Amino acid sequence: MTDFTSTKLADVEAYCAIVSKAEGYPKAGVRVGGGIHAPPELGVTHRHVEPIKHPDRAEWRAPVDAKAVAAQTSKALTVAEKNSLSLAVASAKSIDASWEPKAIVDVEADSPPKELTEEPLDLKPE
Amino acid sequence: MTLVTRRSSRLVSRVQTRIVGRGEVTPKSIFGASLAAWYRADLGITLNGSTVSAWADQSENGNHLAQGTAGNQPTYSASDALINSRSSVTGDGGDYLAASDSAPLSPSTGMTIFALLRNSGVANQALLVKGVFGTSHSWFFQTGVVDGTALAFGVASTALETYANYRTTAAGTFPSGVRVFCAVYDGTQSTNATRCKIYVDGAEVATLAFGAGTIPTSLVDSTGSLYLGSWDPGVGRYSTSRYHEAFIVSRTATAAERDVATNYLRRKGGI
Repeated sequence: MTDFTSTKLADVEAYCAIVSKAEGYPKAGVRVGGGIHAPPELGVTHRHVEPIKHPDRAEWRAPVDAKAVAAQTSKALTVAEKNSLSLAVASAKSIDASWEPKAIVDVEADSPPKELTEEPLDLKPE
Repeated sequence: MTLVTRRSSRLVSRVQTRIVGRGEVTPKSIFGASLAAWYRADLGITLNGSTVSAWADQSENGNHLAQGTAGNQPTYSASDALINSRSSVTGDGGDYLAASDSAPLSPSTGMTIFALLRNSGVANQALLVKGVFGTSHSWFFQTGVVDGTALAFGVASTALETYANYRTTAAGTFPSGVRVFCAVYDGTQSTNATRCKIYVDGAEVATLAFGAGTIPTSLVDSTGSLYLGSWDPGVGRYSTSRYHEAFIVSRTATAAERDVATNYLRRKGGI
């Protein structure tokens, strides 16, 4: 199973929006174990996935755990809903998206380790 | 030498007696108000499915770790075979938890970090980091820069520092298996060698290679967050080590306190 990846940000946004909606996010956390627990607001998962831009390439991805949820969600989708998903993606493709990444996270496992002496990464959105 | 050993032994015994006399030995009973943050995988976990959205601070200082994005939440296991069937919190190489800055997390001339975990063996992975690289940096504790079986502990001279003055252990000093790790910073000491020390399972790692710069005499009062499992997200270096317990003390632990705390973690980890 691999991440949902596309060179079109709008595709990933449309994918993420539907997955998140289906899962009912924001989602409250469930407390396990005893002891002190964090306040409920800290345990909330706000969205299941955020589009993550590749640090170097014009490529966006939805993390793999979203894919698992998408697979579950897919079983429950009717044909009409699936068509809606296709339409949403198709519609998103036609939009000149002005979206800017909120956060660029380096999740590339094959990225070379960064030396301690190097300059900080430029985090400005493209 | 014998006299010193006996004195040291008596000191440890007195501390142990004092602590045991209060009841159960815990980081709280050992360090009292100096315990800045305390994370236990068997307590205070908040889950989003099988991943951790919050990990509460048991020190009562409210330095709770949290992660609101599912894709960056580490995985929780109630019984992890790779960490002696203890509960664990483990990242997949893109996960981290963060706690906002607070006064207890900003000590001045002394600090001690303890962790009971299983090392991933992968180089350049953050374990605990305070502050944002190059912006509000304070200190870091991670695997070796080029060797996953080493440890590196660094302290920034200024918040804007884009590297930290750090020391690293030799390869093989951060071995696989469940271990108790301890990093001690004492800014009142006079040399790099005595300001930063690292202990594995209670034994001091005698030979530390010096990385760069000079270990400063005080810690930067950083406004940046505390990160567990990564540097700040812009830098990454995400951990895949398995955490069972970790705590931060806002002063330099004495040898006797360190001994008691290490034994506490060894018991917790079944080692």
